[in-house]
Amino acid sequence: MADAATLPVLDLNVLIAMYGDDSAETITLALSGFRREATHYVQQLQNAGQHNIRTDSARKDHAPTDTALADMARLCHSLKSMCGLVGAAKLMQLCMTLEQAARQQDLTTLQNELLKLAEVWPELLSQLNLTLLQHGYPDV
Amino acid sequence: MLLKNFNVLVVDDVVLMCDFLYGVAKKVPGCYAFKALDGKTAAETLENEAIDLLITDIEMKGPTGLELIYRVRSGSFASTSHDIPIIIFSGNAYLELIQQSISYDVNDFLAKPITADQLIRKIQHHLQTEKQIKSAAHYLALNSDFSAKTAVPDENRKVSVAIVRELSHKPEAEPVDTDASSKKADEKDFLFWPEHATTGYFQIDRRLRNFAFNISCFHNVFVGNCKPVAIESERKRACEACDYLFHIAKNIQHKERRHQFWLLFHQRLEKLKPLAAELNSVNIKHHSQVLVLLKRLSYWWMQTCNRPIIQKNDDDGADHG
Repeated sequence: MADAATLPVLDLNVLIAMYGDDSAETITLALSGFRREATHYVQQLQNAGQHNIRTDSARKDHAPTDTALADMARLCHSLKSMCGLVGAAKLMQLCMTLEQAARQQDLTTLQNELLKLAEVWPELLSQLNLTLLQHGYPDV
Repeated sequence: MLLKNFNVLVVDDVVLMCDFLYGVAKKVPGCYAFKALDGKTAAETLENEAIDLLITDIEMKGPTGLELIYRVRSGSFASTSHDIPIIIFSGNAYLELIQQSISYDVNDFLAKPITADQLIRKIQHHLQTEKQIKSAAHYLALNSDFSAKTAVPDENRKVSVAIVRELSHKPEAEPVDTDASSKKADEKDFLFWPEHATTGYFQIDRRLRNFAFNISCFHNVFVGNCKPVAIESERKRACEACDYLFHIAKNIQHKERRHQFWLLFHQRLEKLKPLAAELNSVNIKHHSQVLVLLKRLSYWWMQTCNRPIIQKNDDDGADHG
């Protein structure tokens, strides 16, 4: 598994290779779509983390249900796919770890990795906004 | 030049991914793309449109991709044939998932991410390549609660009736008469589907090709004096191929606008109906009756397999990409 610190936040070359098109229209369409949808997924993940994934003693008797963990795994899986499509490598790596932890019901890893989301996502969002602006996307 | 028309349905619950797949499918020459963000919408599309190729994600809410595939293969949809090419497009390649996909004879398993160019090549490849798909009844008999991890035992496969079979090789289709199989391989097809010919409809092309193949098989075992059980088996397959041709043509006809083509093709199908009925009831012991019927079928084929119903498909360059 690649070291997350060395991975690019957003690699446009991946996006261009995936779509087979380097036009500003394609790039802005893909990135704006990604930003809109990923924001929703990240919010859901953060909510799930706050409400379900707690390993501290106060919540020991409120362990997340299998359904909650399966939902988290599914959210991470979808977000991972989206990241792969636009070249958001760092978030993709994080989602991969989160998905595995959710599937294996590894609550400690899940909680630790969810904390990283609070760093990785704003960094990516800022990069997205900048790239969209550079490609003439009006609504940043 | 007549371009084939393919209907491709892409299913993914992630909007960005679904739009990406939709955009790619639209780029394939001759393809018309449909998209669905969930299994329910996908099922509605499969029910109402004659889909020629399905690309689906697995992990979705509602009917999952595997449930959708099971329903296609078991012939649950009125407008979509059960033996269409199916491509799974998933981010995870778990062993259990792959085993289940194999039991449903999925044509391909693509791991995300995949580039637009690679996907276009895959779509073109699967639209041009026939895969051996068993009858809908076979898949229906598979465990419908999706807990089955492996395919059905081999002995079950032997008795299943395949509607679409490999043209060159049929390993287990006729366990009763091995001599007949070897003879058949040497003989020239009784009815022949010309290379690069098309009606402009992918599904009708497939049904006509299967019809020709099955009638040819019936002819070959009959004139080869094979055992009655082998002849009877081929006769039934030919009847099924006939029925499937009627079924698919009826479903496509409702939604299409090529009036001239449909007028002519409908006339041809009307001519085929009494022949199909006779094929269904003919006693194979009455040699002269069967020979006359085969001759009439051959005559029907010669008249049908011609312009303007069937034309040379010159778009190979476009199709091959």
